[in-house]
Amino acid sequence: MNAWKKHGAALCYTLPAALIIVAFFITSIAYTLYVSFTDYDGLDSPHWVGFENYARLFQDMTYITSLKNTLIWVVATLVFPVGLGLLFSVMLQRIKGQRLFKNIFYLPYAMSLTVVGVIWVLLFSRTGINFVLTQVGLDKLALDWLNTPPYNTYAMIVASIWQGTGTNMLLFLIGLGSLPKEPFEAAAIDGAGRARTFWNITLPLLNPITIVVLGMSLVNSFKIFDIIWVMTMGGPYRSSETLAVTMYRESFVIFHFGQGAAISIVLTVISIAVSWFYLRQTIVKEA
Amino acid sequence: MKRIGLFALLTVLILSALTACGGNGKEQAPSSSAPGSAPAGSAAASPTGGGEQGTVQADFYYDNPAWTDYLKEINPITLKNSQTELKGVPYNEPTSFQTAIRVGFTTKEAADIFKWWNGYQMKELVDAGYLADMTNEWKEMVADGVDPAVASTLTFDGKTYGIPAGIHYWVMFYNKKIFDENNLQPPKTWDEFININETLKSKGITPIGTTSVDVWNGFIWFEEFMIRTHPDVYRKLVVGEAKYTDPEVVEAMKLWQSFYDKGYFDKPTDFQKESAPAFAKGQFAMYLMGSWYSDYFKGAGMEPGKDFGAFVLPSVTPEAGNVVISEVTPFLVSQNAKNKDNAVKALVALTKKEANEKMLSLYGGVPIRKDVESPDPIIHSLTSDISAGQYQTITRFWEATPSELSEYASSEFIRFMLNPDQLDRVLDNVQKKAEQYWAEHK
Repeated sequence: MNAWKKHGAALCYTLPAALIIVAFFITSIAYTLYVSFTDYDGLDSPHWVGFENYARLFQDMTYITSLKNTLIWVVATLVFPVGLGLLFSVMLQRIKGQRLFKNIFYLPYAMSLTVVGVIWVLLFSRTGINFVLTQVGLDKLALDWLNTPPYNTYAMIVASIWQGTGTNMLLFLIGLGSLPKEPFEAAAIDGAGRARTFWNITLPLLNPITIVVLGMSLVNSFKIFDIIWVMTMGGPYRSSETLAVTMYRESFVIFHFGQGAAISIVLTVISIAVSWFYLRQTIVKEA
Repeated sequence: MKRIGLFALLTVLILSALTACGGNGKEQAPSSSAPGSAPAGSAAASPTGGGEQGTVQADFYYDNPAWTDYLKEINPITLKNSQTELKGVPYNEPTSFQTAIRVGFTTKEAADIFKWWNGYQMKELVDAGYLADMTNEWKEMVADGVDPAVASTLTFDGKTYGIPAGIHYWVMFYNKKIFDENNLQPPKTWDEFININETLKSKGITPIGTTSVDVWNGFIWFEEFMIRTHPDVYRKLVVGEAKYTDPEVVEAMKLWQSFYDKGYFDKPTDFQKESAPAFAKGQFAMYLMGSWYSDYFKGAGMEPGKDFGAFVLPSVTPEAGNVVISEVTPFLVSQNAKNKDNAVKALVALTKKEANEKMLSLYGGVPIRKDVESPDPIIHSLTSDISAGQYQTITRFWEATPSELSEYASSEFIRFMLNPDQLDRVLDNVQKKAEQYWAEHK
């Protein structure tokens, strides 16, 4: 009774949100989990197939390629957009015209990934980067970028970096602007150089922002879909698919809902597990 | 406490991001409806739903928004002949369209009428019992002038479903200006075809354009080389009675490979944006595609019959005979449609002479009636040639073999197009997939 008096109001406030999450999120996950153990194709009744869909993920080269590409995307979009975002924010921190550069770098993020994809398809076409390479005598470097694995994945990562760096830079700039001045003054008095100040003062103080930026980049990299669908649709010959693209193709193009569900469960488990370990490690350190 | 708060906040952010990921696919269906169209779920099967008393409306689902204009032209005809008005439910692309149709079967909102694909894609709907049987109506339609031969691709176990709304042949388009300048004529034999390629090459003109932008583009030349060499093996291959590693298939693939070795093919272009303008500019002289691609050339400023023509490729050997790939687009009625009877009547009305003429004038293709001629000079000439040569029609690879295999094999054939030296690997991969599929679906 006391507990109800103490927490009753709070429960009433949270109940609608909790019910919505149970109705639309938890039940969807449970249904997806069930479908992943069946051969459901959307027409016939689903038949139980046990772990067959999961086993196939580690036997079929298409899925193995997809898994490899996902890991490449995760590593590349963690290292480059976050690293470059931090670099640009530090470079822009004290220069004149910061606002102009901030806007220029942030502009790609204001575009939808579909538009970014279309722009980069043109840039990677015969009349784009290849034309420039040919004009300057670098014909040998003029590849059919989007049709040549693994360069098609790298090319799309470049497009993604172009789009994603600006927002990370902005978050780091906000973080840098809110850092206390005293540690920097103390470091200056002690004669610390710029590099030492950056490693020993700036980076540790920026940690809360870095955790958020890396955490978001991590999850975003696992679910990457839009830009790949626009630029290559996972092709040619399924060479540039990531797990999210494979899940979509299996579910909605060839109607292997069971296989698609298994991929989505694996993707979710990997994302949550990686995020969990990352957050646990970093927050324990932070604490 | 602070630590727990930060941890909880980040967990919520990550879960939100994952939820957003799951929502991507589902968002496409509603957004793919063309502006001003009826929402996918709106059944309009009310007997008083039409503008005039006694008329009924039937929902018509399709994945080509341009057909909305077709409905405006065709509705007066269906109203006159069946008192039925078709209400369009357009989708912008096939993926969300197919999902909506399939999911619809399991609800009370199954599509009254919908566009589909023939062959295996239609067979799985027949096997699941989702299609309305129109065998009796076909007797009436044939008596009215519809060619009974066009029912064959829509007939399964003696029952016929739907109507063939569009029939197209897969042909070689050629640039007339380039052919005229080089004194070339459409070939009657394979040797003549090879001579055309050699002549063009010797003049510095790339003979043939290709495309590889979509997965399905991969089957175009595979099926062509197969039916020009061993059409019987092709027919067995698509139903799992032959192997992709059989000598006849390897022979066809080596012939395809030789075209790359000899430099007959241009680098692949995007068939939607690049191929037609490139063909119009003379970047290459020929292009193999369904006869519907004529519209793309028209869009690039070319006039059919004057600037470009089309021919059926000759067979490599006389034993292969006169064969041509056909693509049939059926309109079907759901067995559990709310408005099934009226939808069936509307489809019958679409086969009337006036309706077929209207369809041909708007979207081209081969007439489904004996008393109708195509207004398109290219289609007219092709149908005459095909009729005179007693060509046998062969179902397009995409529909002739189960979707899972056509998708995978086409994707692998694109691997071959980009890496012709990987012939053996491609055939091995496809055969492995085929063995797995047929073992599971015996």
